[in-house]
Amino acid sequence: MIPLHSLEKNGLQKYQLWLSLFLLLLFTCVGLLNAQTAEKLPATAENLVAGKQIYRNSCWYCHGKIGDGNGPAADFLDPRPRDFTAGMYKIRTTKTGELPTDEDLFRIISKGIPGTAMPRWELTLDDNERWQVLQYIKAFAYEFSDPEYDPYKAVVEIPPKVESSPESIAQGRKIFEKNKCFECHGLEGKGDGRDGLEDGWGFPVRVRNLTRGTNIKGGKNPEDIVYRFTTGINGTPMPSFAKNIGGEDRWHLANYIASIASTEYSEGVILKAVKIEQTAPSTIDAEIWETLPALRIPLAGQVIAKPRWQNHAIDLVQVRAVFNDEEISFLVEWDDPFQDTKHDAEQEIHEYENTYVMAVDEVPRERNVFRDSIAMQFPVKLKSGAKKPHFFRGDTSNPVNLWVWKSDLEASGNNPVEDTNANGFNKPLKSQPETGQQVTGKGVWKNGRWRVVMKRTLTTEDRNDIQFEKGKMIPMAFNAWDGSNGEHGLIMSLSAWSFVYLDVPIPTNLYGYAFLIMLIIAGLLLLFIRYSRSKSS
Amino acid sequence: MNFFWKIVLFFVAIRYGFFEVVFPRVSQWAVNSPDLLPAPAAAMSMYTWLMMVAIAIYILSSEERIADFMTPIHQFLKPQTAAAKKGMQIVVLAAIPLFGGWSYFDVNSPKMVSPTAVRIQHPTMPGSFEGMKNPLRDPTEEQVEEFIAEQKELAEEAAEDEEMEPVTVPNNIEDGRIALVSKWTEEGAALYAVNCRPCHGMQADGVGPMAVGWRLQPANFRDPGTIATIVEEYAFWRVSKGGPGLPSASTPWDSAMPIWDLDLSENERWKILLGEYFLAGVGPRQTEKLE
Ligand code: HEC
Ligand code: HEC
Ligand code: HEC
Repeated sequence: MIPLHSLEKNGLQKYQLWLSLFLLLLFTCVGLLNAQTAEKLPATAENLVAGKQIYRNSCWYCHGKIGDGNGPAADFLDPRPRDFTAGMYKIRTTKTGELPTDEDLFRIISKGIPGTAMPRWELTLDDNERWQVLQYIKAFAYEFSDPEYDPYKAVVEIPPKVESSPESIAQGRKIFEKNKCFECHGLEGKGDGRDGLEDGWGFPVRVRNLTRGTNIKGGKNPEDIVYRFTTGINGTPMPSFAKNIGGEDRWHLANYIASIASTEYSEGVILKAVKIEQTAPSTIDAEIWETLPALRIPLAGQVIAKPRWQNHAIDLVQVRAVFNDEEISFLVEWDDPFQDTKHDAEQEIHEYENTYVMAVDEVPRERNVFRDSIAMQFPVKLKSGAKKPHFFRGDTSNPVNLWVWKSDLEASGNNPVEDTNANGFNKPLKSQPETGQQVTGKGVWKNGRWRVVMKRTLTTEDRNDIQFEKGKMIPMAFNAWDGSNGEHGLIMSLSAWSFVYLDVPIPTNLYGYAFLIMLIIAGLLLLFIRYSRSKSS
Repeated sequence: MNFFWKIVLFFVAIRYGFFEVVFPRVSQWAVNSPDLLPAPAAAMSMYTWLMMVAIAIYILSSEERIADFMTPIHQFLKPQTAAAKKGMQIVVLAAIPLFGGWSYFDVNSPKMVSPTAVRIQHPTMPGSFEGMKNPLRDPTEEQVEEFIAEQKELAEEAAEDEEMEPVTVPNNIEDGRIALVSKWTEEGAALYAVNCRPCHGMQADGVGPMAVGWRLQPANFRDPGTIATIVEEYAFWRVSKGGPGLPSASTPWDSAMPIWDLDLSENERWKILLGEYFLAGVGPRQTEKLE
């Protein structure tokens, strides 16, 4: 199965593909003849005027007309867009506290900052345009014109590269431990070492989850990572380790981090549930889980209806499933640096001013206010063909069944899973009556990761429940809440539909029928050969 | 090439070349789908049978063709003595029943494929939106005069305040109209940056930071197949009623596109369209005038 999202990425159409292939060929030929990279453009008056125009067409919505990081979109974003007037930049090759080089800025403008709102401008601005706008944003901070702050004098020196190898990675892990990176990043790098940190602009900041390569801001290759801990990340608690870690050790550490920065979404959209004979597991430590195929599903902030939320914490859920003749069990896992098992309903917010929720001061993004939670969503009825309820909580005529696991229920020793229904995002979830609560569950949090098992009988008597049929594609989606990120109600992240497929064995009589068909064909063939030979002799 | 092989080649070319390779790609391109669109299995087996019947009729309708067709077969089936030829004969003859058995098995064994659907990106819009015009593309004289008066006041303020950028005051109604539309366009782009960017991207290329979460990707407005091929009131309908407003031929259940008439005023939605077309660097399709 081809992932839909990867194909349409840039909306490439077939003819465009051929055209681009042709152009690519053409350009490679021209490029070979004329091999040189785009020149850096200086800060001439002409370039500054051009740069200003680009800034006014592309950047000010976030970074503000006067470069102060207060554009109209800024209040809704975490991290907040950079204030260019302060001359403080995160992704550099220069010593801690110094300005970035022009090449650093050019790189970040070109590649964007993954996991944040900062776009990848190389997609639409050409090299010259990016240099022009770069010169324009530098003009916002006087430091850039002061030779005393010349960043080229402060570029850190990195020894020649050490290629990654199991030995180098093991060495790197030791350096990670020796320098106490885990005090912030956690033992498994999930960012669960410290909470309540603030950045240099006074906004709350979380420690990076180093296992999610796609969210590493400065690039996830060792060549990029080696600079991050050597230079530090200005304006954040991430310090520079230039003095503590030197020589080849830098490369070992970078290789180690690159090796753990590997969790990615699955290519496919189907989870294969495997049939077993023994009882379906009710806990996370059953050995069977390790042997099962897993599906890693992308989640996005709930930005479809008010209250829209784009600063979601949970962007990936991994799920596995196993079943026997009576029951099915799911193991759902996701990274969450902090375990939040309290829920204060009084602090839930029901009225929102804007179309999106603001990043700070609108919802309490702190610990011990809201619970962590996850919900699995299935259609109540399987439709023929591709028809399904809407992936966001179904719709009026197509209800969905949600199994909502709640950490506060788990902590209080109750059944942590509520069996609920919804038909549309604009109505609250409806919990089924006591007798309809057939889903059981168990969740455990460890080292920045929740692992939750949910289990139910394959079929129920209940008209509002999903009935698991073997050999069918059953749509499945997720809603997820990270309490300490302020998430509750529709302030959450969600996935679109994936599928769970209860694997059916090949019916034994099929082998028999296939064999019979083979015999019949062979017989007919023999008859025909006899006839053919008698005719030609 | 003899007649027999011509027939075989023809069959293979249509059955595999056209139905399995060309058709899915052409239909994918035609409806602008993210997935290859294979011909439905039922239609496929019907065409295969029809084609076989047609070929049979064609051959059987002339003694000569029957002979032409059969000769190579009889030739092949003759008892062989040379080891190589005999081996070849056995392999081919054994392969036929094996292939038959395997195909039966393959067709009937359970498979793990997700249901794909042909999705129509641009279904007919509801009549109530037809003929609407974006009122902000053509401001009234009154609006322009009001705007010029405002600009005059701002210019006076700017003359006093060094922090402010200089303000230009349009000289006449025509210049004023242009300046007013470009002011609204900028406001629309700002509204776009707040509301639409998370999915459609600041560069209007369909890859905003939230796009990874959806299976059906947000429209790429720079692609000539989206907002550039539709009239502006069509885009207005899509923005107002969102994914759930689509008919089922357009798989509304997979569309994350919000219903914006719940949260944005009519004026804001028209303004956003000015900004959206500006950011994408394209214009709406003009309604054809019949004269
Ligand atoms: C949609 C909002 C948005 C737009 C539009 C935008 N940016 Fe950003 N930009 C951000 C955010 C958010 C950050 C801060 C990310 C962080 O702190 O990790 C940022 C950071 C930056 C940085 C600082 C990188 C560093 O190392 O600290 C530069 C430089 C930058 N942007 C340049 C630009 C330019 C040039 C444009 C226009 C061509 C632009 N941005 C448009 C959101 C935006
Ligand atoms: C005081 C807490 C703290 C310590 C100690 C710390 N980090 Fe960090 N680290 C952070 C924070 C906070 C961020 C996220 C900064 C941001 O928001 O841009 C971060 C981000 C990172 C990143 C991501 C860079 C990117 O491009 O996104 C890497 C890699 C990293 N740290 C490596 C390390 C290593 C290696 C060590 C130990 C040598 C270490 N950190 C020690 C707090 C810390
Ligand atoms: C939650 C994500 C999301 C947000 C936010 C969003 N859209 Fe969309 N939009 C989509 C998706 C997905 C599609 C493609 C599916 C469809 O046509 O419904 C789409 C399609 C469209 C189309 C149809 C294009 C075509 O040619 O068929 C238009 C127009 C559009 N969006 C405009 C907007 C505008 C304007 C905004 C902001 C006010 C916006 N969208 C906000 C997800 C989003």
